[in-house]
Amino acid sequence: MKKKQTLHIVTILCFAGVLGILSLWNVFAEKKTVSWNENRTLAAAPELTPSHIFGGRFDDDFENWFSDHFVNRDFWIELKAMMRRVTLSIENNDIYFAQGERLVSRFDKVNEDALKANAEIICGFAEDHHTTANVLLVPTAAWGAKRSLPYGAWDMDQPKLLAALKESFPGQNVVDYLSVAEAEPNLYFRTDHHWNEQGAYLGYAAICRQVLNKEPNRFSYEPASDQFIGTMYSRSGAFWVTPDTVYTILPEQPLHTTVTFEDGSTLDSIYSVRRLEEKDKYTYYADGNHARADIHTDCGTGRRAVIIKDSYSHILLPYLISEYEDILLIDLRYYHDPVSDLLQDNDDLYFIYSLDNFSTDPNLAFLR
Amino acid sequence: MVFSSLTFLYAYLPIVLTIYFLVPIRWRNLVLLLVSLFFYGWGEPVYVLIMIASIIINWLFGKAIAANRDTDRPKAKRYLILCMIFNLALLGFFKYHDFLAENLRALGIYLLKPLHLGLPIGISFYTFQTMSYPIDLYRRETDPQKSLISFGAYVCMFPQLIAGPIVRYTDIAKQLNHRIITTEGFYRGIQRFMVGLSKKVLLANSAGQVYENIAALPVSQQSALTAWIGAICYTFQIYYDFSGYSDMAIGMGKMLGFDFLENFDHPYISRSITEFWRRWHMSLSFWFRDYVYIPLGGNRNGLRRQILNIMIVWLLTGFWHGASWNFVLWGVFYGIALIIEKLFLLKHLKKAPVWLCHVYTMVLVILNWVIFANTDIARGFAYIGSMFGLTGSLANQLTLYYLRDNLVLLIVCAIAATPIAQSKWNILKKDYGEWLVPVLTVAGLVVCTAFIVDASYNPFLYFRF
Repeated sequence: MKKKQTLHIVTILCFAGVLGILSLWNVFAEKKTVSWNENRTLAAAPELTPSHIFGGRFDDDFENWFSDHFVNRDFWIELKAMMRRVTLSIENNDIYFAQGERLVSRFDKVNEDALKANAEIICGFAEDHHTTANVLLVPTAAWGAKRSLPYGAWDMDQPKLLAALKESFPGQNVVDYLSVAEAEPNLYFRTDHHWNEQGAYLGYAAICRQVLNKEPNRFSYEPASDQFIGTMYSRSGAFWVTPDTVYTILPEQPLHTTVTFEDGSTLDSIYSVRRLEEKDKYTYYADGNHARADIHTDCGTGRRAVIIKDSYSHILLPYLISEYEDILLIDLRYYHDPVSDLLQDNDDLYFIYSLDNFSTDPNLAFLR
Repeated sequence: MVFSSLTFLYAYLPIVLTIYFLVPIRWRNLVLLLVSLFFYGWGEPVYVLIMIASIIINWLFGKAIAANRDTDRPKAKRYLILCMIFNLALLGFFKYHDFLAENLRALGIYLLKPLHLGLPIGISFYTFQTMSYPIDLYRRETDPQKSLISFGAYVCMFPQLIAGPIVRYTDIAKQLNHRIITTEGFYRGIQRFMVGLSKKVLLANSAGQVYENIAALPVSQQSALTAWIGAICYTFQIYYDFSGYSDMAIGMGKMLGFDFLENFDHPYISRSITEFWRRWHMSLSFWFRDYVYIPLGGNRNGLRRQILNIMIVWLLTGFWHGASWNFVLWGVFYGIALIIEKLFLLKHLKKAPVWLCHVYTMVLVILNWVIFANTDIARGFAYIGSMFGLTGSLANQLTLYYLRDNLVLLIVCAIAATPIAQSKWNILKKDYGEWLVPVLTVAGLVVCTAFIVDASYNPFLYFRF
């Protein structure tokens, strides 16, 4: 009987202890305003005005604020991801736990209409300017990591999709990435959705062979940071995964490069060193997303490329600047002026996108 | 504020328990009333006034009925009828007005305008609960509650306010005036609360997510087996959601010194629909039995009348679940199944192999949940169509994916739906095993908190680029 009593009291103390400690900790803990991992501003405290309290949203707003600022938020997120792993789930928040600490997002949606429209826009644009578009669509990490995905993982058949897409660009030059690259996990970052320097090298090789009709140059690699934790890391909650390394990609002959962005700011390198201080170290390449960038190098080839792109192209630039003296980068998500005005005779016109983004992106509609 | 929210667990509950146990016993009903009104007002700052009005009016009617029930039956009956009209009008107006208006409009009758008022939380539960009081008084099954405060505490007691169980006044009348709180009771309450919280947060929410994903699949990716996995997940979701909520209510009731009746008794082990409804949402079934079916004559006026009574009860049961035709259909299907079983099927089921009875019951239950889940009836039937292969695919890659990804969840859900916890396999019932209870309490709270915090995790990333 005495023993039972002790058990009861111990249980009550445990229950009250957890509720009490966390409640009080919440009250006194310092409140953050930004969630680094989520890349967003956390909810603000709900206003205590009558109109808000009686407005019908107070309950939800309070809970949003309360959970956004719950103590050690990242610990709880990571614990939940761990519980998913322990209970043999193969993904968390739709990110697969692949072998070798690799986090891979699923490519599950193709917007057939968007895809068709995007292909037609590109063909129409190229015809209007009497040129041939070079289209490079890069499969996502789920293709590369196919063999290291957990059993049961499902993904779009990307080679099939790419093969079908070839027919959608009559008269254009579709750069066939799969002709130079075999599905290898190491072509992609482990913690980010982008391809890495090795994947991009093969993209560059494909461009050399299928656009420039030459053999690719050789490069060497120097680690710039070994602390890159990308979007897959954040989304999956798998905060136990070790960071990736981003590399500086060095040509055999050093190049002098200047980059001018739409706002007039400049870099005297294709790399943005200050970005290595930030969370998203992929922005080390070409300073991340900009509406427009004009890149000039002293490689002496005299050629110019206009690249309509998403961020997959950024890590390709250290390679491409060894082939093009001038490169104009246009991101249609932010650049809505006519591209026609910028196009010159003899330019090589490129469209470089990740396959999943190209299958859904509505922004090609701004191309004119 | 739902029980499985951080606001409830880490702000409301600790504060309320602290106040409740600090004040002298004679103030506890008042404290309970005030914190419950606060709880209700938190989510319904305006409709809380309706709740207060409902408490006062039912209490006054109760007084009038009790004063006349022994001397002037007709008068007492008139009060009772007025009281019923008030309660049903309240429910009818908020829950069914717009439904009626829209259906009349569909028929070309522009009599009523939809008001889009929004349903006061828990109104279906608390109006049924308050109605039991005047009826039981009239039937001399209980004595009137002298204190308005105690009556108010009964009506809006926060553990069972928004999702039941529907507690009849007679069941807790004694405890309202006099209740004993022991460390053992509190301990049992914690255990029960943790079971409920885990059911809701770990099982129901996870299973619900799977169903949602599968229901949203484009037809080209849907297949029969995937659709079955989705429907089974919804079947688990609704059970663990609802029974988890009841467990939490019963558990918190115990902490506060109340014993509520059980609401679920392992419904998914039933061998017939008749048995299923003896095990599912029992407090509602009792309510309809005692206040509708039996007063209508029950089974005392011949088979025809009994069948009619069953249909009336099931139409109402369906309609009670929501002002939408799919709920009516859902209720009618159960009414028909129960009648068929009563007429002849039950006899055969008794002789049939046990597994066949389970399969028969669960297939009907699962299919009917699909109707329940889709307020758009056409969508519900389309989903059932894909369960039977109308999409032309039996299984595909996605079937394997959903099965593989949720294997442990499905197994745990299936095992937890059986009475295994009451068997000798439950080591928590053994002397040494009991010491796992505090450990599991802490672990359960921590893991549930992780799942609740994670639900608000919303990475805003330029993830596609």
